[in-house]
Amino acid sequence: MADQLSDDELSAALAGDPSGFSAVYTVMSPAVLGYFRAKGVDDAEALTQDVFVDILPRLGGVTGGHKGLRTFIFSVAHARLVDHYRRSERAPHHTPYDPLTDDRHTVSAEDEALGSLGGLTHTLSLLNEEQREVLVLRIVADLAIDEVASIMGKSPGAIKQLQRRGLSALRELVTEKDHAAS
Amino acid sequence: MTGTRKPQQDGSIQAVLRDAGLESAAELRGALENLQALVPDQAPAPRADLAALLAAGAPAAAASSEETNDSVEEPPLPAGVTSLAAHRRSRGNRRRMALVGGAVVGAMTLGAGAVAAASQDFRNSVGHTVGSIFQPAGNAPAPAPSSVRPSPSDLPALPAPAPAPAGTVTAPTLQATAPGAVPEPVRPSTSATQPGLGRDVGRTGVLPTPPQRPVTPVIPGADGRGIPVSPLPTVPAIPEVPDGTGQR
Repeated sequence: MADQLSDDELSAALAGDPSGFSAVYTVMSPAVLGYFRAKGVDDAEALTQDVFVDILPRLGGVTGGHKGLRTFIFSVAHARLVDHYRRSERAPHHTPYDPLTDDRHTVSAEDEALGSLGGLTHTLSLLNEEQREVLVLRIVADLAIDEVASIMGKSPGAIKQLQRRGLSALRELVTEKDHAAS
Repeated sequence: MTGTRKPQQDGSIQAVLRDAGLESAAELRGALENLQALVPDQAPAPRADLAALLAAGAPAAAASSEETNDSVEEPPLPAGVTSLAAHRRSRGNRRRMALVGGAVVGAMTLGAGAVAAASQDFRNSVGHTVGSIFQPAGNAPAPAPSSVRPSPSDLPALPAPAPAPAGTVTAPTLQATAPGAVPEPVRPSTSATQPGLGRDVGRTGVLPTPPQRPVTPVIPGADGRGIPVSPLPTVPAIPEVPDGTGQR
């Protein structure tokens, strides 16, 4: 995984060159996918691809280099997520088959190995919506305070406050979980 | 999984923890590392439309500008991408197809009309409808004489109840007729009383006309209800009253 776009790829992408597009997708899509996963979206990959179908033709107007590109992509992803939540509020509620409520199963090795991940998503869902958004954008999307502030439409001070409160709330939740487990 | 984290990403967690003043919280660091592990190492396989966009970014970008001028020739497309230019070029064909379709529909309408006109049933139904249109016109004059007829037929029946109250009970019958609806009978009733006659005559020569009016129109209007009793008797009643009293 290429961690950063090279300057050539970045300038090519911002000029509408297809080689730049694929580089942007290769570098940025894992973070967008992780962002949607952390927010508990059921079909995170589809939403990720929606985001890139949306942004790739519009890269020509992006300014600000690497940071500007990252902020642009995650602001689109953030808006897409809000749209997704609104749409899912109006859509009828799905009740999929839940294998965990089925008696006829044995515990899967993957679930045991990744149990902490599912638990983390659940723990995050207990946080305040804005606190969770700040933490996910800071950790998963790897954005700076200022970029998160511009995406969420708040001041950097408010983002810092939300981050501090979210972290302390998360710490309490994790400590409680450890106590309950032990 | 956390072992594969790059130092730079660990740095972001470190920065977040430092901002919040929670650098020493080991359990929190573990949770945030797990959160960061949600980011996959590889990009998800793009689906068809996204793959087309990635593979042909330049043509896709050109497509938007191409909408303005159709004459621009497209660059060769990569495999798996279908050009829409062929569909665009077939606009003339589409117009021709629309013309042919319109002609076919028109011809079918004409043919169906001709077949319908030729069939016996259609002609019968047309004749029936024409006949039904003219029938009510023939029936229309019928009600006029029918309204005329009852008036003479009821005339003999009416005088029978009339003479009895004529002299004595004129006042109650008048009151009964007043709500009955016809204001005209009231005038003859007042004229029926002898002093009223003299006054009306004194004013104008209208007196002969009001009695004539009620006789013809009022009878067809309310024959069976007994209301005409008052108008009918009024005119002839005056002479008849002495006859009725004389009989009794």
